[in-house]
Amino acid sequence: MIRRRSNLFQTFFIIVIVVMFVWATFPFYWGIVTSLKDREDINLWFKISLPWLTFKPTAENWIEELKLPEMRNALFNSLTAAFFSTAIAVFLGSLAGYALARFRFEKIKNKDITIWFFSQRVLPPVVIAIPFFIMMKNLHLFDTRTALVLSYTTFNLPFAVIIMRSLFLEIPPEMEEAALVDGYTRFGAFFKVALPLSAPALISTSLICLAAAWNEFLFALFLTSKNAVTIPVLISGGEHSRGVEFWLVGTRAMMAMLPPTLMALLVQRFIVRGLTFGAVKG
Amino acid sequence: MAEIVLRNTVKCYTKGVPVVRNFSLEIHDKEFIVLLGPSGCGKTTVLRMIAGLEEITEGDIYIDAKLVNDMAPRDRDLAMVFQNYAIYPHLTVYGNIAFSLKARDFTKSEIDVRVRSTAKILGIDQYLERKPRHLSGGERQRVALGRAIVRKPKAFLMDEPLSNLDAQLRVHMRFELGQLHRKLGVTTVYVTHDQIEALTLGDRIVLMNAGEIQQIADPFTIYNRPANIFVASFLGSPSMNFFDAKVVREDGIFYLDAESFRLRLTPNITGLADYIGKDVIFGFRPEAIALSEYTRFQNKSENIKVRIDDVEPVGDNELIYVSCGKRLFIANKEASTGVLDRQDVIGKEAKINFNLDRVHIFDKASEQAIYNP
Repeated sequence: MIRRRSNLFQTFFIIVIVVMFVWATFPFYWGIVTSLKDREDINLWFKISLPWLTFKPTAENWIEELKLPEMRNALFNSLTAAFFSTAIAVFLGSLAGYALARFRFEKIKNKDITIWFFSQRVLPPVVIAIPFFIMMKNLHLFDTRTALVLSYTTFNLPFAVIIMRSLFLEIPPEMEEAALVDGYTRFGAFFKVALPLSAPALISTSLICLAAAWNEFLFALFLTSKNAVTIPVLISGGEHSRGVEFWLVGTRAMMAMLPPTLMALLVQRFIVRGLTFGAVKG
Repeated sequence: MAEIVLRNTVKCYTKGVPVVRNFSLEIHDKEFIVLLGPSGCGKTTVLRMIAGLEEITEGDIYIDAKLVNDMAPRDRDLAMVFQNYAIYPHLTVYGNIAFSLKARDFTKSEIDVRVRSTAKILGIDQYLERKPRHLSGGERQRVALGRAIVRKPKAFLMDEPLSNLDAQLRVHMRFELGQLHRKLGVTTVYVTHDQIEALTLGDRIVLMNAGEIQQIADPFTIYNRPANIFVASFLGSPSMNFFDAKVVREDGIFYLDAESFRLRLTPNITGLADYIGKDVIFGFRPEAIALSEYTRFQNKSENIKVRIDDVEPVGDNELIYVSCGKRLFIANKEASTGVLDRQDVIGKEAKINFNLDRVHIFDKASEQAIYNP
């Protein structure tokens, strides 16, 4: 009886896992397959698509897309916006996180400042999208990469501050105090001791910020029109008067996915470490 | 080499709540001074104030007659060894020892010479290329010491540097620290809550409690002539036994009347004239109390009837827990005089004597010493 029940449970468990697996991987499968299809084959979408069996795969879409000036421009925009916003957010976030971890603020307490930072992170982005649009318009920054860098830095900064603060709290303060007595200034101790010790967290924070900036859609949609368009906006623009051009959407989606996926695979252990900072007291 | 002077220093983390009160101390050149006291007594705070890692709320600190109240830690030319070593895990042993020299722009060749000679002194020259995680506790401790001594600073500040080591290694490192101090002759301020470390290492001991200095004296004096009940009870393991008594004078002889027994004091005990008829507290260290059959005291009290509650063998000694009425106290007996059979003696009556030459008498109200032998 018990055995039968456990078999039933196991079967149910396997079915759930299979469904979840298909649910999670089907979009990737669809994207890859679609990006390799000829335009005529796209219409066979309702059939099961298996490369070399049901259709002949082609790299034509990829070559065509990479030749497209808008695509190259969008790739460049996404890369620069993500890179610079991440660099600024992580640099400022480390300094602010360090200050919150090491100094005691009197007028506004450390806890309140941290919660304030956190509140910026949980704020729905759409709330500030229109004010941002007006600000950038008035600053003559509309449709520039600078506008993207500024806005991405703004929403990445709270995350960087909070994660770096947790990390610095884990580093024994004696480490930096030893450096202070040994002959360094507070900045010296920060750069020579605290930062090198937090290298794994710095990498993971950078990656998470990079991914957030790379995938960002709402601000890019509001703040750009032509010159500073990023990949996510370009993908969404795959809908033409002719209808949705699935082959373009598929190829662009795959192109957008590649860089963060490769990076995540490369440094996945740092990401996991970064996400669990402060979760367990060492 | 340096003289460090603290004058009326006060530290408050919360306004009006001092953790260090009116702390004044003159540390002489080449002296090994130990700040001793229970956890939370403020000894580490004092050390950190000297290092410049804590701002002082009131008072002055001088290093070599120079006021350093507002001087940054790096400009004080002191070296500090932390309880958890605080050695940098991302640097090799070489990098750790060279760290402070790089901060002060020493040349590469000078750094190399100094690091290697320091490592040799400490016996860690074969580990120079290793990362700290590949070292044992004792080796890490040596790296921390190496980082301190390589710069030849004016003084060493050590914050419980041995407390993370196991008992055996602690004894060994204690010996090495003493040797190192004699060899280098650098002024050292050492914080510990371990009385054995304090008594063995210190030229002088500063015993603190609740942010205040209780007594400053050399190890012999602080143990034998405690300034008050706190000092007497803190030093010594097991600690001193205390009894309430009234001072009585009959026929020109002073007695301590403890109700269930009476001690006839020797004529050389002075300072009791003002206490006749008053309550005092007197104390005997366990080694000044003995079972009558084992007494070798020259000047012993009359036999006092007690009940033996327990016997604890501690290697070369036995601690005998006895009670006399409601009073409980501990006597110390050398095991070489014959080991007691626990089952045989526990619960039995016995007689004890006090060594009257070793009595300590304290004022009951102020708890300050009236008489020390």
